[in-house]
Amino acid sequence: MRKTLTLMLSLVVILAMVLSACGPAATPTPVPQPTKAPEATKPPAPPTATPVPLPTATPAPKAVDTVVIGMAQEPDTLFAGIGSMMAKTLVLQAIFPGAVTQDDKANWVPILADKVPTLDNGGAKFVGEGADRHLEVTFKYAKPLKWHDGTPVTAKDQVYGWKLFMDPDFPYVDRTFLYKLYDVVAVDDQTWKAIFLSENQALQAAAGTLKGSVNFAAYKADYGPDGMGYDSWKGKGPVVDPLYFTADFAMPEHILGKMKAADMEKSDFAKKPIYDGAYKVKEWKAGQEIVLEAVPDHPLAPKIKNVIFRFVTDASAEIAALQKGELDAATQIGLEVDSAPELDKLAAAGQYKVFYTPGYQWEHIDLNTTAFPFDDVKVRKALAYAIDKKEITDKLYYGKVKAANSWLPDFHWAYDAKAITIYEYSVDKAKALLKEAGWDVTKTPATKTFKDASGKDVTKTLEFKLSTTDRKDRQTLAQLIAAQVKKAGFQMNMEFLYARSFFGTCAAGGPLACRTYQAGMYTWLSSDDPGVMTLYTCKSTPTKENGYSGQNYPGICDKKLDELLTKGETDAEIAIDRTKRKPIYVEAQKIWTDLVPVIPLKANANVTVARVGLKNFSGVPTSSGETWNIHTWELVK
Amino acid sequence: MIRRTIQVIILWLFITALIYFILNLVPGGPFDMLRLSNPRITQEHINRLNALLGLDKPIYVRYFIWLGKMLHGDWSSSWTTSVGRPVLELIMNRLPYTILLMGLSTFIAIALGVPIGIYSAVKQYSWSDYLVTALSFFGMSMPTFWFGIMMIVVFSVALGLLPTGGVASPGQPDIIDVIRRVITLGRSDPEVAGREIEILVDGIKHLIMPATVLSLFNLAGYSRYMRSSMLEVLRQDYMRTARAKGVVERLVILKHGLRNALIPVITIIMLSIPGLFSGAIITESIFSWPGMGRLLIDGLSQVDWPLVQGILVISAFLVVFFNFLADVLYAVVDPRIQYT
Repeated sequence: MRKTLTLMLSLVVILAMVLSACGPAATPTPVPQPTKAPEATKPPAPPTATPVPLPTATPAPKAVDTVVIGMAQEPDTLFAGIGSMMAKTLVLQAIFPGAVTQDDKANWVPILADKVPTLDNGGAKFVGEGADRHLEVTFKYAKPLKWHDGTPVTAKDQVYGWKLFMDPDFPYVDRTFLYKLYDVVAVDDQTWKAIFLSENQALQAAAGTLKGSVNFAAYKADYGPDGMGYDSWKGKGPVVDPLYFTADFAMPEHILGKMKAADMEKSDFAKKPIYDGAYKVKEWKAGQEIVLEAVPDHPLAPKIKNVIFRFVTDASAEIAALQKGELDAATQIGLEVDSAPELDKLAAAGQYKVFYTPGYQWEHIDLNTTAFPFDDVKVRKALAYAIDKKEITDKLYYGKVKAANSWLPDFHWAYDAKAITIYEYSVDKAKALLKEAGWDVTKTPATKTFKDASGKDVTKTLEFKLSTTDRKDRQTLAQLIAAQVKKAGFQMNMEFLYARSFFGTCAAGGPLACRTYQAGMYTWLSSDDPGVMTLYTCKSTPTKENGYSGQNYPGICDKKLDELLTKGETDAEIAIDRTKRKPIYVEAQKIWTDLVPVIPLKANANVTVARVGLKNFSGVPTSSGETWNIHTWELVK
Repeated sequence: MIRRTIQVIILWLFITALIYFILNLVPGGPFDMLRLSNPRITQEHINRLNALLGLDKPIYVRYFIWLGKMLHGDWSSSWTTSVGRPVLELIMNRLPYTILLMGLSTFIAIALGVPIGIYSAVKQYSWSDYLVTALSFFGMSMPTFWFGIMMIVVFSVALGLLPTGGVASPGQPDIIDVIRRVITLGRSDPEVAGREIEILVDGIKHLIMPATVLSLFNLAGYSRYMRSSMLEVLRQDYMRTARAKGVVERLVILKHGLRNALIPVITIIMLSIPGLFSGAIITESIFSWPGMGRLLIDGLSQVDWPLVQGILVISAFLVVFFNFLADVLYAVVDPRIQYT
């Protein structure tokens, strides 16, 4: 009896251990039928699977005038110009929105300015002649503003901010845009002017002799021909930036003017800043939440009284919080497409809407065009045909992301699907191209006989290595691609590296930077500016001569492509005029897709969730974030 | 004792060097990934940003600068997690929450684990002993990330009884604010005034699940240690002598047995005290608890070496110190142990 009982208990223990180890994963279960990826601005189509009714969630007690937004990351700082996190951008949109921003359709719209200054509306114009010709952009506040402590915002704060950001002791993260400016001047209390460099001034800056309101000499190297500011200027004509209408640098001089630039990031201002937005910071509880409250009588007239950004670090916990009704919205930070089944159930329950918005991030495979086997354009095209993007988006991403065909997303103003070459999946076309290139496709992997240096016949197989990071989703994606391309005769081996090793400099052995890879898979981030001169021009190829700087990892070098990409960014008249710029980039994309230095795979989707009653919230494709219009939100229950 | 103290100091210094060099030899720096968001950013710009943080100096020079500053109370500033904020400030912000959660869960684990272990030892081979053993193994084997999520699904989503995570309801003061107000005799946290009970109740609701997950895991361990130690003691001759002298069984167990059985368990408890500081990475992430574990994982993922160094150095010090203290305490509690 005792032995039997012992045996039974042992079995119970073992079963308990097995069950606990093999418990259901908190992350998504497979959807029986994938749904089509919705358009960026429309709510997603209801799932075709029978919705599982959720248990009735007990809503957390809260006032209708408070909206709670879940976010998986905590901002590193709220000091504008320092740090680079998206989490910071989302909060700053509420407390420090700036003169202009991008809306949910990627259009530039004014927020605090009266208009977006452009060449067309006279807000921007070229002034001067010859080598002194330069661009001036004039901004005006739509309505008088106050800093959150009640001090009036004036154009002098713009001038102060520009000087602060150009102070070498201030740890401004990315001065690419700033380097193109000569000065910012206050026209009157509500109006300021951003003055870009003329050709003469740019040459002086490169020589270290330019004098002005900031210390140009400190950045002499960056004004040189290989500097950050001068990738988009080749020594001729005025210096411009395609996003010239974003020259907004206001910072509260009456507060920051009393501090040293090097001490600012440590100050309390970084935790509880005084800005000019519709909301101000009431409290930042480290690791927990940031509480904002509406500024009374603000010109933007925010509808919701309180906004709480609550940090929920685990995606499953965030979904649970939505199911329970504790959150009114969830930002793109934290939610991924692999949570689509749970999110679609949430949407089906009727309390929330889910947005899968294709953004600027695009997953792709770089092909080393100067190394075997991708030194042959036919082999590159064959690989492009051999990859089934639809299977990728449907199988791995539940149909919630879009296939990518260019470095620009399909909603981009410079994208034209009719002009570019789109490689629809076709094993037959892939094999035909390989055959044309001399490969024997009757074998797997395909083989080809080459002549070595001594003239002897050498048979090679169509084998290559795909290097990427060790992220789980990339590993799954690589495995699916390997299975797909095998049908066309490719043998794809895989190498998964720690991210910082993969993206490391050549000195650290980074395969991309050293160009020792054959195929490399990762994500690039494009933007409203379609310029990719630093990515796909001959000069941008990392070589021993240039110290392996430059990011043209595929090593593509085409004279016409070079000419177009360079012109699109360095010709001042073209670079800031979309109607002149678009045809250049359309033609550039055509050449690029014909040459196939890169196989675009998919446009990553920004996943956001909001209560059905949260008006004016929508997913956005841009880096402005879904809080770009937070002052217009209304929560209706 | 003096020799032991010197050994502790040398060991701790060695550990700090190990931590520093291992972290700083990891490829890449805090700004390397900037180029992914803006291809125009050059290596020169990254070098300039690195120089602002002193990363242009040789690693051994940086170590001695860091060590010197640390010994003078300057633990450097965060590079990326909370840009520019002093590391000590970040740690002190999170420490109360970690001590609250870990302290409570450890207390529950000990308060329940010790009696369970005693009972299990006294009733060895009974059905209750087997049940406790099975549950102990279950508690020790169950992954906390799974158990935590399951608790959220059941108690928060399905039953709606408890919040899914956090320390307090959105926008509300939390339990630490109440404790701080009490400690400062009402001088701080004015928004807490008059709402102490309400906030405490809210805080307890938020504590229940993470504390349960952690205490279940630790309880299993303590009950097994206690059981094992108790069994050892129950077999001793003096226990038989006590019974032979007519001492009541309850006193035999609690007075003669437990006191001796607790000696090794006290040692184990002392060794787990550093855990009160280091937090629980997975549990804190799942329940969005703003503790040291989450801070450490944020620092690691964002290459924030000063922050990670600060946390690991303190953890190392506590482990070394409490090991030392455990040895000392062992000698104090057990007169049979003497240090030469």
